[in-house]
Amino acid sequence: MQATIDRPIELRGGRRGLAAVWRVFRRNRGAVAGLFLLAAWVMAAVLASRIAPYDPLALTGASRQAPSSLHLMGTDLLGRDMLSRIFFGARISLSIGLISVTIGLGTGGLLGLLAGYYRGRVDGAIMRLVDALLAFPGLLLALMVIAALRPGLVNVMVAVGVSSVPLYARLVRGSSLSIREQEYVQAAKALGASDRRVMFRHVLPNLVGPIIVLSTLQVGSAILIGSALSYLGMGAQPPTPEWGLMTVDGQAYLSSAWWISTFPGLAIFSVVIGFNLVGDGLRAALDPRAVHRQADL
Amino acid sequence: MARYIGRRLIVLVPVVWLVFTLVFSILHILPGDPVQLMLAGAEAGVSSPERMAQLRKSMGLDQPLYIQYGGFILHAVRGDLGESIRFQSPVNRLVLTAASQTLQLSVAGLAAALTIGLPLGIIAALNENRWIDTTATLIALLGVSMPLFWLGQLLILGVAIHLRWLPAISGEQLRGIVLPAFTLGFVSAGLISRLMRASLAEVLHSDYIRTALAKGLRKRAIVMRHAIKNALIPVVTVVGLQFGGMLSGAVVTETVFSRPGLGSLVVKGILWHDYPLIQGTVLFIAISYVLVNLLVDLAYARLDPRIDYT
Repeated sequence: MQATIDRPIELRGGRRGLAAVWRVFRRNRGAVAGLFLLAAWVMAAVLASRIAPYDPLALTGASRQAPSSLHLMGTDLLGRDMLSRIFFGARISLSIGLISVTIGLGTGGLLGLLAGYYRGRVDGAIMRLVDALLAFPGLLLALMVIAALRPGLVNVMVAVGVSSVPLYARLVRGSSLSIREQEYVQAAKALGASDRRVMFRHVLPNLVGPIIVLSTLQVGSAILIGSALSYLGMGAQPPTPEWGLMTVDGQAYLSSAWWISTFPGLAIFSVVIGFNLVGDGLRAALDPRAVHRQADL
Repeated sequence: MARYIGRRLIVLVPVVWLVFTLVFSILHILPGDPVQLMLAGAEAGVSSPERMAQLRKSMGLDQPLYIQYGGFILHAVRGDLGESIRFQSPVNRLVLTAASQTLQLSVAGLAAALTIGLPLGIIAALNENRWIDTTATLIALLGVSMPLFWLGQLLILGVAIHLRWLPAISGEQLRGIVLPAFTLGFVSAGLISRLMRASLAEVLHSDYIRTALAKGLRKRAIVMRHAIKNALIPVVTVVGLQFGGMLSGAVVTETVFSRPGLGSLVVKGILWHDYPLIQGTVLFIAISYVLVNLLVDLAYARLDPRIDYT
């Protein structure tokens, strides 16, 4: 009985929906450009060990060599090849983005789902906690987590993930409050479906659109916050080829060796712009109601 | 209004209490012995058992957890944030000095954001879907996608080193704040311009503007006298929230331009394992942020008579 209510609708709606989303998305020039940009960076990250001309940690030339045919983006302070370090840096930045978003979505989404579904005291307690987390503006919440866990790359992922928990909790709670009143949810409950089944089979699937939009944009902002933390000395430690950390080396030599901080910065910028373009495109295609977000960096 | 303010303050009580608790727990989640860590970081040497015992005692870390917790909240409420290990002076004095620096930077950053964002949004709304509108959209996209520290470095490279117009490191003079303010304000400028554009475009399509046009008023007068004023209302809230958000952007901006302030104080505290300093500064920033947001809400309720605040 339940199977006939659940499945056919979801499957058919899902496929037809996907084609429609793609039709709208494809017509958005910015979004398609963003998709190509991201595809290029994913390739760079996956193939880094094949396409990088040098070992990212090896001293392959003199210190601070200007871009040339030997080193397309020049060399850094120690004489390591910038281009190779940037290719390998893509692995780190994309991992920071994806893992921290997974942490934020998992924790925040679950909190929001519980708050919206059970309402009452559960809702009150969870939302007060979310309000308290929101009292630490943007980067500060991540910094506080770093202060408690001590600096490091893995802790950056946790910190950035935690700082996006309030966003997901609010989004999921808001939507599930209205979804739980829908007739099909009532029907599922009347048929004796458990709370867990109703939450994960009936409420959550209807939130996929806004969650995908928010997560795409969040990956971009997670990469921004993550690189800022490394820039501040809270994240990746030398000699890791992390983009934010690489710009620190160049800052003292801006006048004589501009390439050391310019190229890693450009790399961060282009990845983030890719996620923002794709996210905006998905929002237009998937979620007519605008997802509000605050950019802190 | 008084009742509305009162109710908003009551709702804040549990939030503020949780903020205190979260800040208190930083030191206690920390893996390992905090005293050893603090002395290793802040005094950068081998610490004697006597010094460790003395610090443990002076920070009350030898007491049971619930007494430490109660003491932390009682002291903090009275404005006593403990003593910095590195600076050997009261945290509240350090925080207040830094706060005035960060306030200057935030005000300057907000001024930069408004000077760029408002005209850009207005011009975009008056030229809907023309190239200038597209450019404004692009600038907003650049703003949210650009790492702050990189924007700062590019400005130092271009404006300070190549053009030699402004100093790269902000010293005492007023000129020194221009680049940090622009860096800090750029993200907000993009958001403000988008919001101003949307808001003004909506107002320009409304009935009373058409009436004014039909009456024969000149477009310039209509935009200046009627439209902009009404379009500004939603912008004000966001501007207020942006101002609070600048406390976060200041962390990076202050580091790039080697400015003293709350942000660089937190960063130093973390790098030096100076936990009283971290806790005091973070607490101060969070409470200020909550209060600024409350003031923005109240100001918004006053500005827009359609909002019912009973």
